[in-house]
Amino acid sequence: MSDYPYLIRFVIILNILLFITFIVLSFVILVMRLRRDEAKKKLVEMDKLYYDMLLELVFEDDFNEKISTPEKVNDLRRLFLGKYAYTDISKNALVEVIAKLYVNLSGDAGQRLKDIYMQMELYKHSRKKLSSVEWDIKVQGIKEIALMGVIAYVDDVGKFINDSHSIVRREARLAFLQLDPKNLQTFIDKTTTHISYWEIINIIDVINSNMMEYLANFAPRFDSELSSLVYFCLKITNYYMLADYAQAISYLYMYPNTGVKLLAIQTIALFGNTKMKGTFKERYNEEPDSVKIEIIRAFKIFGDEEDISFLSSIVLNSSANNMRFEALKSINEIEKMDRSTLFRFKDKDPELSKMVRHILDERIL
Amino acid sequence: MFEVWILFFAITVMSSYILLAVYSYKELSYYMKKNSFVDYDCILRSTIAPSVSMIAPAYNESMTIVENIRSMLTLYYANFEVVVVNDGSKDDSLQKLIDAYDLQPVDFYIDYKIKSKPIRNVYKSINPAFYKLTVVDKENGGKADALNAGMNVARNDLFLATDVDCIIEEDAILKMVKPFIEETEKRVIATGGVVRIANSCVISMGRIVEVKFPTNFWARFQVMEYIRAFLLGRMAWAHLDGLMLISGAFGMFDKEIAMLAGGYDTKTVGEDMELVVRMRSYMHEHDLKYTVAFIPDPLCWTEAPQTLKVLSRQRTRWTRGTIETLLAHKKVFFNPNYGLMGMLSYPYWFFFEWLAPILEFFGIAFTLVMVLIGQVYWMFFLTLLAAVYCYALFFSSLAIFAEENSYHQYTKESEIRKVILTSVLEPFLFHPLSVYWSVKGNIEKMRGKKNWGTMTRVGFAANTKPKK
Repeated sequence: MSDYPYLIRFVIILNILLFITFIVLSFVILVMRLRRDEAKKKLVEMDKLYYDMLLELVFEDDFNEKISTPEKVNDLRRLFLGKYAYTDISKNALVEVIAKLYVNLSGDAGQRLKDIYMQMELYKHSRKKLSSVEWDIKVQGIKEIALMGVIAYVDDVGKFINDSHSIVRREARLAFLQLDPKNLQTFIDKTTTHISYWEIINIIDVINSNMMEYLANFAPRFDSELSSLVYFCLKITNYYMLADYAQAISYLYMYPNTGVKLLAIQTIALFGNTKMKGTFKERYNEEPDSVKIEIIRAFKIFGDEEDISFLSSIVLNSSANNMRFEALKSINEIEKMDRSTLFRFKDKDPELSKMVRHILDERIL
Repeated sequence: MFEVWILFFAITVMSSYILLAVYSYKELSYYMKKNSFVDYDCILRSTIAPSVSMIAPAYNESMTIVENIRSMLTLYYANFEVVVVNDGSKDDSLQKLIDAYDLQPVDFYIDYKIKSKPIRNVYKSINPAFYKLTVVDKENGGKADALNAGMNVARNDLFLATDVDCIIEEDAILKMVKPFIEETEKRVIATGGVVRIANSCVISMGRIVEVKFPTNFWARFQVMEYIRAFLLGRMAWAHLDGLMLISGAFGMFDKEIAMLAGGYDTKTVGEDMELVVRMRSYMHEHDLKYTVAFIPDPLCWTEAPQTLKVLSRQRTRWTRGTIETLLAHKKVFFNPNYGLMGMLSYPYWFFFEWLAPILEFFGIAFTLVMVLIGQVYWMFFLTLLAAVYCYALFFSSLAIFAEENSYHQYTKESEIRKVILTSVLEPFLFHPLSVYWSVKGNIEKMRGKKNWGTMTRVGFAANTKPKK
């Protein structure tokens, strides 16, 4: 008990500290709310002003005249940035508004916006961000460079393709392709770290929006040990139906990664590589369930009546109902005209009957 | 010696909360920055984005079911289906759905991979506008059983388990899918989302259009509680890779793993937590690399109980659910084979979520006895009481700070003041009740109580903006 007075003193001090922290935090919360509202208001105001000024400028008849000499560009810079002093905040806001407008304006107006960005040397501001130690600033810079199409900095952006920070890496990869869609080959050659499915979706989006005709030579990377890179190459091959790689892809059926293997089976079927049918049938029983299902689906895509006996044997002998159901669906697709096999199965057993009724019910999509 | 152990325990609980809060705040700030660079439209446009099934069990939801399903069907995502499971409702929920969505029974083949009560019929709409909707009518078996039936019917690789009375944000699926496709070296087996309280919020066409702080006294305390739990707790656990609970109202799962693990356990009332623990255990036992992710965005809104009676039923059920899960997976306790879950998450739940309220209850009871027999050293007692109170204030203010620095859902300054005031009152008015309900849950568990109890809801009608 003799220690208690010291303990009490300690707890009292702790109480005071905790209570003060609570009061300070509560005060900070309230002040923060007011300041954030103010800052937001100011940013909206700044955005609106830049937006109006830029629109007015790009649609002016003597636009070219206004950016014809360094002195006139300086005047422009003063006009825009002088409003809010030459701070990074105002530069950021200006670049952001230019970028937003650039996405929505095409033709001459779009080009003029880009001219403003280049002539006012705002690209230097974007590039400076690439050397920031903060990853989010770096990403901002990468995005600005990509959006405004500053091709001169493509190599600077390319340096981050295998960056240790996943978001820097992802944005650099996308920017690298956006800046020059022909870079897909370089991108594939340079990539030494994993590519996520999220990135694949984004890259396909970039390829689509750039309407790229030539993609890349994927074959050398199909034997990469980086499974996600192989998956990426295979996905692009599948998505864009690059049938030239049909032969190379057949080897990927033996790839150790299941994701790659499943996609390889799909792609083999998509390209109609019927030479693989024998291998599929031979190895079917040794494969795990997910691969078995994909093989059954592949036969649906091959659409060859001679495979009905193989699929029928699955329907009759498999103990897994999902395999039987999948096999029935494949049979239905193959013989869509007469469906004789399907009708034969209908009365075989109650479970099969339910499966067939499901397949024949056209209200189920 | 005993008092030293109690003191040690209390300090450990308090410090662990602070550590988790600081870690959560760091992760939350990182997530906010990271998310500002994400273009979700890209998944929306993509034809190769993963397919998702929303499974929404419904039991006697006749009042709101049609409108709620309509808002689910209009979520922003290309490749998804909505599977509504009518769990033997006694009202006219099913008939209302049939009428509203032109439903007809179809010959749907069901492979009962996971056991569930018999499915009476599966309905599809003859109106192509509702092709995404599937309604399953089954015998009553409880929420877990309904979810299992939904899993048997769902066709997609991922499923989102939710409640039919929840209000889901339009971009919820887009955000929940992202962790599954972002990870390259581990399999994401589940993603948890934040559930927020919708009481008093303005709702239009099944969507939250204005977030308001609840007017109901008890709902206000629950707002504080949810902010603390989701923003300062689960965020940290997710990044430590030790998240054991994904709310039953809103969580996305890898269907293959959920099925391999055996689906939802129908014998527990804590089926949400139990499934996550079982899926995690399955991955450890099969030596598969995995992770459980968490998204802090407020994507799902639910109605909090507004009366003590209903709140009590909910809380005692949560306690029973926790106990059932912990007992069902006792092999995980300090078992290094289960990684961080075994060595940290499970013991944390055991000591701090299950035992702490019991200890607190006995502490209060002991103090009262000491007061009655005049054996209290008042100076010390009051100082310690003040310490606990100040700690609670401090911790709540951290939660409000995190909320204000991230989503700041309550837009009016007056509401923030109310949130702070709520945190001042909570330790006196709400916390003792929480402790009591927790102990009551333990007693109910010992007595073998198994049912869910009726969750009477007031409904959102009072806050709903009429359609123009």
